[in-house]
Order: sequence, then structure tokens, then C-alpha cells
Amino acid sequence: MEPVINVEHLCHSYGKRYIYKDLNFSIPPGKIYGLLGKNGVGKTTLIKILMGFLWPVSGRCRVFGEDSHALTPQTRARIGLLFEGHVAYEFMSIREIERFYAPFYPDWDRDTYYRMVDKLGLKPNHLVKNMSCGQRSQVVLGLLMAQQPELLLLDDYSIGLDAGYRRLFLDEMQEFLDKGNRTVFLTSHVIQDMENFVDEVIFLERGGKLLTTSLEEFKQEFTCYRLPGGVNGSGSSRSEILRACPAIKNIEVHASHWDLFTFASREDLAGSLAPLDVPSNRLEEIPMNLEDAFIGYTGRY
Amino acid sequence: MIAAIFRKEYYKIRWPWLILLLFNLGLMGYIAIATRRLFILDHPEVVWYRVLHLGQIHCEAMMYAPLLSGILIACFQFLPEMWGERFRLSLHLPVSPGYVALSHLFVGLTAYTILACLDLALLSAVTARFFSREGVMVTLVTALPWTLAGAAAYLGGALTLLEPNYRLRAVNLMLAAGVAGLYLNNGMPGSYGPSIALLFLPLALMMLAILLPVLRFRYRRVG
Repeated sequence: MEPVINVEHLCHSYGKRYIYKDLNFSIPPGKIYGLLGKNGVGKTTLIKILMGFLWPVSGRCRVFGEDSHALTPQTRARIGLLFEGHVAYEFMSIREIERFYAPFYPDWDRDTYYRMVDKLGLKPNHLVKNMSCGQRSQVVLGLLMAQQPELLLLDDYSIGLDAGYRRLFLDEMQEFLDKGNRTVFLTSHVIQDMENFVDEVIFLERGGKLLTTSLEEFKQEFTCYRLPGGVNGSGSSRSEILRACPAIKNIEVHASHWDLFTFASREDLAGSLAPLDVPSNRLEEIPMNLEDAFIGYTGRY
Repeated sequence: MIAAIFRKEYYKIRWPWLILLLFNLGLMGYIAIATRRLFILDHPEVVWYRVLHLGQIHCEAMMYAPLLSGILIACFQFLPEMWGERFRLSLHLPVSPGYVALSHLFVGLTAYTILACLDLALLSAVTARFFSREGVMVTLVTALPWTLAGAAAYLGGALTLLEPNYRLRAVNLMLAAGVAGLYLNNGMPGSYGPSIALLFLPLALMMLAILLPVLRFRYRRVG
């Protein structure tokens, strides 16, 4: 089956600062993918490239088989875009904005739009600029869903939303996705929301290194081992240990303990720490929620 | 599709445009009063001689009004689009970026042209009340380049505001100021008369030039 999004050897930079070198991944149809990474790793840049608003320095980025910067209008009609901050034309009212978008999309579903915005309890002549961020997100999502896109690109949908509106957004989205073969590619800063929503996650790191995995697999295989008292006596520094033990993804140093994050088993980790005189017999496994695991994987800063 | 874009632009600029309309009507009223005052203070023969032979312009108050209207329409139309880069919303619509850009320009130019035509029509009516047919013609030929300066200001404003690169934005601003200034460099009343048709050429070129910043905005190259 042809992937909906296919990124090959993507390379992008801002001046001399490279965001990615040789980024590769693809997204099959009917899946929900979450793009996770710390601030500044290039999540929004990647979304902009996928949306065709940024031309990559090199490499190919295809959406529905077409170069993302040269999408035909027919293909654009199949893609719903949510811009960071729920960007909308604020000078229009609830009714006006629907009347503006409707003629462009042959499958426009007016009822879906009004079903969603009616939940806000606002009059149809209520201006978007007089709405809260949460209310605006509902209007924007209503417009996206009325469009009936096959691919949704959502750039940080959670920004500015409180827990209630985030839940409403995800519930509406889930209902919409249940209807058929839809693909979603999203970024968010609220990691917990991903837990019950996405099928796969892509962890993006500085320099464009990425890991594609399912959340279940990630939660099962990525482990935190705590070393009380740190590595007292061994004489090894954090960077020396990371260099000597490629199995360790990250080490977070705290005053009273060190947390070692790894995909390796306890035995393998202990084996690789042994030559460094690290007291691996004191390693204790610490349960993590998804956010802990994400921070463990990407680092705190 | 164009009806939808027209509708959006109508929602966006209707109130500012109405204020501009009232401003232009007020200005024409002022010109009517000022012209009548000329005839109260002096004999009609003296006024006619000053206007038709010495080149005094009785409607000078109008000179920069179309320029102001053009600049303001461009600002009211494109500042909300560039604020937070909302123009991306229109550029993602399933039509070509050129179509989107030209539709927006069509709406803006229509809004401006209504004001400009109203100004010229009212100016003709006011002038015809006090002067001969020759006086009306000279006045129209004098005022037409001013209204074209307004169109140049509108197109130049669009060219500047839609440009994503700030250096090129400064270049576009200077270009717009230069072109608009060309229409206001009016030595004697009616002196642009023989070249009126040619004055439309820079406007046509500016209209096409606006596609460049739009395409740069849509398919930005950074790096």
C-alpha cells in the first residue's frame, strides 16, 4: 500500500544550522502518528515542509505521492491542516467562516460543523476573534472535519487548550477517525494525550535522529534504572559512561541519585557498566508514565 | 470559488471601506463648498481665468485622498492575512496560489475603483456646476492620475505586505512609493493628458509582480 507520507533523505537548515540531515520515514494510510520531540528539534519545520509552506534544502517529501511543495489543488483538498495556535480568520463569525470554506470542498459536511460548534452554545454571528482559545479550536476542528480530509496534519493541537477542551478535541477527533480510512500526523506538547490516541510515535531528536515505534513497544522496552547515590567512587563522569555504554540512551543526574534510561535489559546494562566500576548491583527499576519515559528519552533540556 | 473569496474579503473590509466611503464623500462635499467659495470671493471670469489659463487647481484637496484610500484598503485587506501568517489558510485552499492572489487583488481593486469612480463622478458633477465642459475635462485629466496613484498605492501596499522577506519588502515599498509618486508629479493641470493610456501600464505590471511574493510566501525557501 502506498504510504500517505513518504520522507526520503530530507535535509533542511536555517542558514548554517542544520535541522535534519538525511531524515527518512513513511506513514501508511489509516494510522495515527504522533511526532514527539523537544522544543527546537524541527517538529514545526517538518510540518511546514509537509504542508508545502517550506521548501526543503534537499531530499524528497511526498504526500499522496506528490512532492509536498508542489501539491495539486485536488490533493490539497484531501489534506486538512491545523496550524499551530488554531489559526483562523478571526474577522469572520461562526456562520461566515463556514460559508467561506464550504464551496471549496465537494464533500463538505455542514452538519458536522454545526454539530461541533453548537456545543459551544454561541450564536452563529459570534465572531471568532471574540472566542477563547478552546472555543476557537472547536470551530477550527469543525471546519477541518466538515472538509472530510483523508489526511490530517495537526501542528500542536493542544497549545492553549485546558484539559477539558483537549479531551473534547481528542474525543471529536476519535469519532471522526472511527468513520473510515483516515490518517493523522500530529505534534503535541502534552504527552499524556498521545497515550490512548496515537498508533505510533516518532521521536525526533536534534540533528534529525529519529525513532519510530508503537507506544506499547516503547513503554515496554524503554526502562529507567535508578542508581542511588550516583556513581560515587567509580570516578566516571556522565559523559564517559554515555560514551562507553551505547546501550544507555540518557542519564539524568540528581543530587541523591542517577537515572539511567535504556532499551537494554538489566543484565546487559550491568554488563556494560561493569568495566567502569559503576555499582550496577544497586540498580533499581523505576516505573514510568509516558511523560517520564519521553523526558528520559529526549532529556530534560 | 471567487464568490467565496469575494465574500471573505467583504466580511473583512466592509466596515473600514464604509468609513473610507464616508471620508471620500465628505471630501467631495468640502471640494464643492470650497469651489463655490471661490466664486463668492471673486468674479466668475477671474476664477475661470485662474483655473483654465493660469493652471490653478480648484480640487487640490483631493490630490492625496486616493493615495490614502489605496494604502488603507491594502492594509485592511492584507494586514489581517499576514498577522500570524493567516494567508496560509487561503493558500491551502484547493485552488492555485495565483488564483487566490489575483482573486484577492480583484476584490481590493474593485473596492478601490468604486471609491475612485465615485470621487471622479462627484468631482465632475461639482466642476460641471461651476465651469464649462473644457473645465470638466481638464479637471478629470488632472484628477485621474491621482486616482491611479491610489491604485498604485494599493498594489504597492499588497506587494509590500505579502512579501515574506523583509529586505525585499523594503525594496517593494520603495518601488511602490516611486510608482505612486510618478502619478502625483503633476506639473500643470491636465499635463498627463496625452499619456493617460500609458499610465495604466505600470499598474498592470505591478499586478503581475504581486504573484512573486505570493509564490515566495507559499513555497518558501529557507536555508
